[in-house]
This record gives sequence, C-alpha cells and structure tokens, in this order.
Amino acid sequence: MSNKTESELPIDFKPGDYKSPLKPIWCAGCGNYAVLNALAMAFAQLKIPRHEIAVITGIGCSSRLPGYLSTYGFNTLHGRAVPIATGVKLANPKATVIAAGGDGDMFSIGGGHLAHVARRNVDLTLVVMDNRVYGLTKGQMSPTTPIDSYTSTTTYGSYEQPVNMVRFMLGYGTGFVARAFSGDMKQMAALVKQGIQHRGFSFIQALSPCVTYRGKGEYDSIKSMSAQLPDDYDPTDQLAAWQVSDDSEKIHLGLIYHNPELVPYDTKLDKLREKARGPHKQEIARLIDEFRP
Amino acid sequence: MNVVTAPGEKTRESWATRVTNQITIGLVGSGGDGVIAAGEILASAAAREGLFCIMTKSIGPVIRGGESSCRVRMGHDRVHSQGDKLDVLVCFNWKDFNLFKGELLLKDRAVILYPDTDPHEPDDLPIDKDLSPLVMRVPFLKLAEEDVGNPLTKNIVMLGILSGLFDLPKEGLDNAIHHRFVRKGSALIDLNLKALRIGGQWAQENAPQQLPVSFFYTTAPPKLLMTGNEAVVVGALNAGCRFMSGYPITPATEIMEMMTVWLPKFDGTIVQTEDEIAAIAMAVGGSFGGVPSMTASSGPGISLMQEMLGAAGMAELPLVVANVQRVGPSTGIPTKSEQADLLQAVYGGHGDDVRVVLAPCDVEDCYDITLYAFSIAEAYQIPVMILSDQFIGQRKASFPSLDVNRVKVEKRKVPTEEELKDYRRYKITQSGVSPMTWPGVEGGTYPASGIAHGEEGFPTSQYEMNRLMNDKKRRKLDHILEKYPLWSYYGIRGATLGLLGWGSTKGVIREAVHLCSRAGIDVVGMVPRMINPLPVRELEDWFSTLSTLVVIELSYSGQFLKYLRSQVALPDNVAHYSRGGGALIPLEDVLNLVIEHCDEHVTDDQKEIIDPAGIFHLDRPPEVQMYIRGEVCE
Repeated sequence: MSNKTESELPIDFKPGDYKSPLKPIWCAGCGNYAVLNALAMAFAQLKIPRHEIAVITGIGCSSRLPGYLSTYGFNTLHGRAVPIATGVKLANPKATVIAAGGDGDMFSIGGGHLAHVARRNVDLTLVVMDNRVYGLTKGQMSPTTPIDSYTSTTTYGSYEQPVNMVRFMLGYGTGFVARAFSGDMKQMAALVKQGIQHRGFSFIQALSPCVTYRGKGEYDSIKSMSAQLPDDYDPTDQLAAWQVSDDSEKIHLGLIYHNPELVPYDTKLDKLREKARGPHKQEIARLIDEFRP
Repeated sequence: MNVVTAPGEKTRESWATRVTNQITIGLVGSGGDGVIAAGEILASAAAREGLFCIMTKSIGPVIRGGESSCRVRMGHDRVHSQGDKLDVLVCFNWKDFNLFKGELLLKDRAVILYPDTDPHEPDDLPIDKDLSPLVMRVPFLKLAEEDVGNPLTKNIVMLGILSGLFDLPKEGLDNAIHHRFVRKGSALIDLNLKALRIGGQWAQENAPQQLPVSFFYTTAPPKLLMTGNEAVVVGALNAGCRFMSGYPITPATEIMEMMTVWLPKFDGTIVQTEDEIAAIAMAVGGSFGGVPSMTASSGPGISLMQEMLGAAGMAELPLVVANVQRVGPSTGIPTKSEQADLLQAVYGGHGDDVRVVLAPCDVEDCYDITLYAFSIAEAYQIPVMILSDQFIGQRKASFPSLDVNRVKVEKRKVPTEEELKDYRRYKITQSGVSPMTWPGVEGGTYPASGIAHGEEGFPTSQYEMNRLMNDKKRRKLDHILEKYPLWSYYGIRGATLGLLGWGSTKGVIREAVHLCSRAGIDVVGMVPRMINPLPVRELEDWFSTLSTLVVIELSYSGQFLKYLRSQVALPDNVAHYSRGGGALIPLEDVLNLVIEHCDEHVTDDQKEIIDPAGIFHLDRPPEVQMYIRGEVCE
C-alpha cells in the first residue's frame, strides 16, 4: 500500500505536517499546546514519516492528543497507555512509539505499569503532561497536587504528599529521565527528540500548567521555582540525578539522568528468538508431532 | 497373596466377568506416591497403542506433596467423559482417598488394590460394602525395595501389576516409560522397565482365577495426546497468532507457558505482564500494531479485562481472549471446573458492547475453535472470547490427528490504493467491516479511540454518528452468525426429547445420547459452539420439533437457561439440570433425566443397556446410526 500524496512530501518535514486539522478541546493558555507543538517539532527534526509514528494515550485532557496529530494514534483507557504502547512497540518494532498522558493517568490509575515498563526497558518515550490537577473531570486533586491546594475534592486544602515523578522513575531504574516545562517549548522539543533517540525507555515529565483549575499564576510560580541544570552537569552521574530529584527548593529542567548502556527489550527478544528457533524452520506439523507420544 | 472378595447378595449373572472395551482406573496417593506420574504414563501408553483416553487429575491445595488423585479412562471407542465410576481403584493411602470423597465412586464389583502395609483390613475399607468389590492387598513397597531395588519405583510396579491383571498395552507402557525417563539416563529407564516387569510377574503369579472385569481392545496407529490448553496454543500458532501477553492464573496458565516455548520459535512475542489489565492491554497494542494477538485467563482475570474488551470492541481491533473457567466467584475453587462465567463472557462489559463468544466442547475442539476465533477476530475486527473450562483445558485426551488445513483462517481487510487516497478507518459499510491499517502503512494514519468517533476516527459526542457506529458493529454479528454455523447435533433425527448443553457438558450429553440410541430410546442432543451471537433461528427450528427440552449445565444459578430465556422462545416443557462446580456432571444423572422425561416408558431391559456401569458390553445391541448436523465436531 502506498499513498502518493505522502510520498510526494518534501524531504524537509515541517512540524505542521504532524498535526491534524482538528481543533483541540483544551482551554486557551493550556500547557498541552506546547507539548503538542514540541512533539511535532521533534518528529520534524528527526524526519520521521508520519506513518511510522504511533502516539498512545490514556484518558484525560492531555490524552486527547492523538486526535490532534496526523500520525497513528490510539486514545485508549484511563491508565493503560503504557501497556498498550508496549504491545504496539513489541509487535511493530520499526514504529516510533510515544506514550502520553496526564499525572493522574500515569501516576494514579496507571501507576502500576511504570515500574514494569522501566525494568523491561521497552524502547518507547513516555511524556507525562503534569498539570497537577484532574482537568477533564473539572478540578479534583491529582497525585501531584501540591499540599494545601484547594480543589473540588480538597475543600479544606489537600493533605497528601504529592508524587515526585523523577524520583519514582529513577527508583524504577529508568535509563532516560528528563523534565521539561511548557513555558520553554524548544527545550521540551529537544528533550523529546533525545528521548526518541535513546534506545530504550525514556521518561519525560512535561510540566504543563492548567490555567483553568490551577490558576493563571501557575506559569509564573513554576517559572520562579525552575532552574536549568548547570552546563557541567553530568546526566550519567546517578548520584547527581538523585540529588537533583531531591531538591525541594528548585524544579530542575533538562536531562536529569541518562544511561545509554541498558539493553532494550526488543534486543533481548531478538536474542531469545534466536535461541529458541534452533536449526529448523518451524512448522505447525512439527509442533503437532510433539504431541505424538 | 491376599485376595478377598467381600461378601454380597449378588446374583449369578453379576458374578460373570464384565467384558468391556473401555476401562476407568483411579489412582490415589500422597505426593511422593507418584500417582499423577503413573496416570500420565498410563495415558501415554494408551495413546501409543491407538486407544482413546481421557486423563483427569485432582490435587489438594498443598503446593507440593499432599493428596493427589487421577483417573484414566481408556477404550477402543471414543470416550467423551471422565467415566462416572471406577472399574479399578489403586489406593496408596485411605486417608487421602477420604479427601476425594464423592469424586471417586466405584462400580459394582470393582477391583481395589492397596498396600499390604496399610493397617485397614479388606472388609474394613471406607467404601460401600454392597458394591462387593474384589480387594487385593499388594506388597508394592516390598516389590519396589527388594525386587527392583528402589522404593521410588512402587508406582511403576503398580502399573506393571495393572498391566498384568487387565492386559493393558505392554509395549505402550514400555515406550511411555522410555520416553519419560530418556533425559535422565539409561540406568533410570532400565530400573523402571524392571519395575514394570516385576509388577507384571507378581500379577501373573497372584491374579485371582476370575476377575470381575476384562478389558478388550485392539490396537490402532498412535494417537495424539494433549490438553485443551495445549490445543488452544496449537490452534493459535496455526492461525497466525504472533503476539501473546498473559498473567499466570489457574487453570489457564499452561497456555502462556507453552507459548513461551513456541511463540519465539515462530518469530513471535510473548510477555508475562504485571497484571491481567496489562496482559489484555498489551495484546490490544499488539493487534493495533498489526499482529494477530491474544491473551488467556480465567474468571478473576477476565473480570479485570472487561474494560479493555470494551475498548477493543469500540476501536474495532481484532483480539482473541482464551477464558478457561474455574469455580467462582472470587477465588472459588481454582482447580475445578464450572460453567458459571457464561454471563460474564457475554455481558461482562459496560455499554452495548459487541463481542463474539465461542465455546469449545472438548480437547480437540479447542484447536478448531481457536482457529475460528482468530479467523473471526481478524476478518471482522472484533474481540472473540474462547470460553473453555478447567475440565477441557487441563485434561489430557487422545485423538487421531489435527488437520493443519481444517479451517481457512481469514485475514484483516486492508485498504486498496484507491481507498487510501481518502482513507477512513471506520468507514460505514454494509458488512460492518472497514479496511484497516496499522503503523508502518503509508497513507493509513488514523486516530483509534475508545471514545465514540466518526468514520475518520475523530471523537464525536453526537447521537446520530453513535447510532450509525452501533449499527455498523452490530451488523458484524449477523454476518458472523451466517458464515459460521458452529453447533452440533447428536442422536436420533426427529426425537422429541432434546438435551441441550454447551462446552464440556457435551461429553455426558454425547455419551447419554449414544447409549440411549443403542437401547432404542429416542433422544437428541444439541451443543452450540457459537454462544454469542447465539444461533437463535436454528435453536427455534429445533425446539419446534421437541415435546420436552432438558437444559443441562454446571452453574448453580443456571446461567445458560437464563441466557437462553433472554434470547429464544423455549418449548413449553423445559426441564433444567443445574449444579454448581467442584464435581463434573455424572453421565448417570443425564441418563436419569432421559428416563424421567422420555415420552415413552423406559423398560428395565433398556435401563440395563444404558446403565453406565455396564457400558459397552460385548454382547451389546447393534449400533444405531447417529446423525450429526451443523458443523461436525469430531
């Protein structure tokens, strides 16, 4: 199957080529626009054809993403983008697979899958669009809502310790951990690009303000706390990464940890297949014969 | 030697040796007695000699060791059920026997073997005295220790004795032992062959002059021996399944275990996931990625998968889910069979979910049904559940062969070049099926979603489009029903007494109908293998020929009857046999239903012919021609 209109595309891919004509349901000022643009920019810079990309999301404002892209996409179930994306990548290893969703999607209902995608080291890029609130259901507490925040389910102020995403993912042994902010779309695009290039599982926390339920001041408050990692920062230094993740004063942006040595899951599977295959071509008749006592 | 015939009030006739071409042997012991191993060797020997056999195991809750039992039913003719009552019982430990009470019933004048070291006197055994069994105390341990030279061989000594007493296939046993121990070296093979021989010698020297049962058979070319779970794997690989993700759960785990060996050989992918939700999610991802994919589970796991089944239906993705039922709810009895997940299988999801449910009715049928499942899932882009159960999934059965080309497996409909120019993934079509692409197909990009969507896949919340999509998905079911007449009839054409069951219940229905036809009792059995959509028109046509319908199922609340009532108009006279799981439906119960509900009076002579304890007497009446309609099941 081929499509002339697509193969006639200019060799220089433009970010706009990766977007669908659909107008997002997101509010004006929503941080998710920057994430959408960053993804499109990263795809364009890497010159990946649209049909070789699959963007898998869960449920939430941010998970509406596939509808706004012109790539393959799947807006799945709440919390389940990661295992579905894993299935897509393992069944279709040539595809560039992005899993995306919000903080509630990934760290609340879908939190159980993160340890496993990390330890398997599946070659996909997970972008968590962290707006620190449940937006689609209109403003309830999320796992990253800061303490003492007033939401529709924390009338007297929230009192649960918010999740430190970077620390969680470092703890799970993730080989690529980065943090980006919708206030700096270019850096976000650069990190997404690096995440896609990393052979193995990559995690990107994308701070994506919800101006509707967290207030218009959210950009400024994140900006005032954010800091770029110093020029001499070594992302392969795990101890330094732990220290950065532990900093309660500053929100550090950039590539926090990178271990390019970890073997990706598909490589392991290839080796396993080779080991299992043996000298013969496999045929069903041979399999049936195994049951002839 | 200590043969005791317990006293009884039997007539001269019943003392006559029962010459039979099928025999059911039960073995009971503790872990370490090796009864399961012995049963497996026996089943393997039967298959090697071309006999039909069914082997079931029942094991206590202890992870290793503890009480265990197995039963092997073998015969010259096809055996369809586990056999109600035992011809022969070998009991290494009566305390263990008591733990299987109600599961191991004996025929009249059964033969019982137990160790001479056991303190029980032959007339003091925990069994019904009226059965007048022939009891033999056997020095199993002495023979193994002193004559063979290793006490661990006592289970093989026991097989030698059974072989000597009942003329079980000797060459098959030799070969089965060779095969079982071949990896452990020739010394162990020789030791066990010696054990077999010594057991045989003991039987020759000590056999009573007349045994109550004599097993008669002729050998045939070797048969395949496999479990239903294994047959699902063979079917899946043959159907082109190249992706599986699963999570361990009794009694479905063997499907995943076997896939870990075979899928990589076929260049496929298998993942053991973190939970059942991830198991079905990954399979959905694999399918979206363009590869025929499956998962397998049982009741509790299937409950967790319901949401994703709905998502696969909404996104119109092919998916096969093998569901091996166990006793529920909650943990229930994981190691035993039940048919009480029927309603969950059909109605488990939220919303007006569209899915297909197919039910294999025996081990061999697991292969066919799995081929159909993939064919339907891929061609119609719909989730298909294979609704098996523990009795089918975990029993070993022998049968002549599996035809690699038995079912033509359909593939996904892909768009033409013309269709790709204006590609609409969910294009509304008459068949309900729209051309499908996956990542890598140029020009075919689309957003899939669990959200209601239009033809291009973009979300919609409008009634009209949702209605069109509901219609489109529903139309698939009509086409599937038309194309796949998956049901089987057994028995006498035009009989006005009908037996209706599904899944593993087919075994006892099939045998009951067979016996009745020999005795001149007109009865017909029907087993639908397509459960959803249910072949309603076919059922109603058949119902119109009946005066009484008996619905038979292994569900305490009668889920099958409830389901039938919601789908079809039933005849006026409906009898219902419904029981919870934990023990299988006895053939005797089905025969009693026939006697109770038959239009004509069943005579004593006829009752004798259909007596399951006397099945397949050599002087049986001539075979009555059976008819089978619909899809042939065997």
